[in-house]
Amino acid sequence: MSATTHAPAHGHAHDDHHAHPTGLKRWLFTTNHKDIGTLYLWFSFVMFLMGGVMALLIRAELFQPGLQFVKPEFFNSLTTVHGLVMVFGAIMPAWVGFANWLIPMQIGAADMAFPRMNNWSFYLVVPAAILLVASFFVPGGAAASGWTLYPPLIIQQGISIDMTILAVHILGASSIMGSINIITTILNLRAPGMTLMKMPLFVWTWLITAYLLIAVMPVLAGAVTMLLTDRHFGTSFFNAAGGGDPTMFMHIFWFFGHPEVYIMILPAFGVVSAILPAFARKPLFGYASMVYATASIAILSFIVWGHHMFTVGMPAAGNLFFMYATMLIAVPTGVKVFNWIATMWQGSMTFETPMLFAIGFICLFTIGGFSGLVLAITPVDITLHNTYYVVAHFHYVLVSGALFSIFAGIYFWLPKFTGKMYHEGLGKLHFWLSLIGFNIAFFPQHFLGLAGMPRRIPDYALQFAEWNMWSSVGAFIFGFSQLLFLYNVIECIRSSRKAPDNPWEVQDSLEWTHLPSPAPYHSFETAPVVK
Amino acid sequence: MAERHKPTPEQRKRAIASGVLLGVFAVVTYLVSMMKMLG
Repeated sequence: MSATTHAPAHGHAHDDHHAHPTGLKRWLFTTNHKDIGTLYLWFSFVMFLMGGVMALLIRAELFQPGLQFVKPEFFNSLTTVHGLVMVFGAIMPAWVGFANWLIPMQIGAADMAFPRMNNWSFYLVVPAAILLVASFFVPGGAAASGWTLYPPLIIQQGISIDMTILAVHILGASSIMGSINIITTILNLRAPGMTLMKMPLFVWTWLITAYLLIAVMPVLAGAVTMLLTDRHFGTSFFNAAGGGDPTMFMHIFWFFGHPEVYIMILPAFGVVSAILPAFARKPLFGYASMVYATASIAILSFIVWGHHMFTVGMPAAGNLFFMYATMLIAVPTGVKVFNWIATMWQGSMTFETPMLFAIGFICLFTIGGFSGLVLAITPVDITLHNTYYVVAHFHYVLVSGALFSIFAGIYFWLPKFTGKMYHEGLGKLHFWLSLIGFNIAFFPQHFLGLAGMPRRIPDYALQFAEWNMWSSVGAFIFGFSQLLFLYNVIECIRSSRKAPDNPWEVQDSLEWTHLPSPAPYHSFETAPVVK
Repeated sequence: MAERHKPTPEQRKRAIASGVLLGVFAVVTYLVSMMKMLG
């Protein structure tokens, strides 16, 4: 059961009669968790637009067979950097933005445990993103190995690979510092009475996510450091020409890569678990089981990496282990989906934009989960490996999973962030266009994959033409509908529609019950007491 | 500027200890993962 709090005291600071730093200085040197959260959120949106432009270039090229707009080498760079930008530049920073904004407010802390390190974490992300995007403009073009950075391709390309490896190192360092901050804050700075099992689920999901990050980011850093020595210092860890083993890199990469998927999706579970009870007007069903399910998913994520590489020729026992371990993840995930549906069951539901995105998340993420189960079956995966079925699967998990819940969270907390209400009609239009565009873009990719269309190719056989055309049309609908979201957020910030302190009438989370809207620059003058 | 409540000295001490411990864990994981790859 999450926190039941006493009536709102005047424990918050009204900053309308207190000054705080302004202008460029405020944003450059800020140590305030809300400022840093805002920086992360805007940064991730800019990167989302950049990654989105790359996606639209990919889909424009694939609109019909033959080479239309881009050369094959550039196409490979587009798919690679699109993946890296969306994972490391858009989704992860968006969740860190939410973590910065919400965790201190939800646990009743004044700020993060290490505010200066928090500032540094953000300002490391910016040069890393510049390195990634700037790699398009160096001789040889951007990395074209796929976001997985597999050798031997990664060993053979030009300077852009070094830029990518440096960017991954910097992003890893930033993530590790952010995770240390989050874990330390949650474990040490909770308000009196805020026991672990009273924390909002978003805090729980981030606590577990931060542990995942700290466990796997250094492993990725180790692997790409060794790639760098293979490229420049004459080693052959992964270079078969020198006696190295490229398959070892794949094992190491996916030991990081699979938990990385959960790093992007666990905070989404927290957001959805906050939104559904608010709009169903019922407490979350099965709070404790949600916590245990989240932890189970995180633990299982360490022992399933082999399902990404069934085709490399692992022993049958290895394939069987990874197949069964992967299927096991469906159990805690099923617990979560059951609990979300039970939360809505017989609730007095209303369907404002955050709720629409949250329900969209449940339906579409479940489809992504099911196609994941299909891919977990070793013999089926050997057939579908590297086809568009895989592309469809992970976009159902990461777009309608992570991205939809980011939109849901933004609409839900925008009144608290800005003190203004967004335009509900525009929000609903954004949802329906996104839902329709997304499904037209990605559902046909299941058919393409089942029919055998390989991924990462700029041209394809004629029999794939029709579904590719539909997929491109859907991608453009989805892509341009995001401009509506941008307009809605800016319009909200500039509007005069004042938001109530607790517009959704949430009863069990400190940011709604104890703080006005917008949340003041410094949240609590005195620590709130949680009963 | 509005005064906010600050962590107690005990909380501060615990926070620094947790931070250092987690930082050491990250560095050790980085080094061990490379040593494992070295064989």
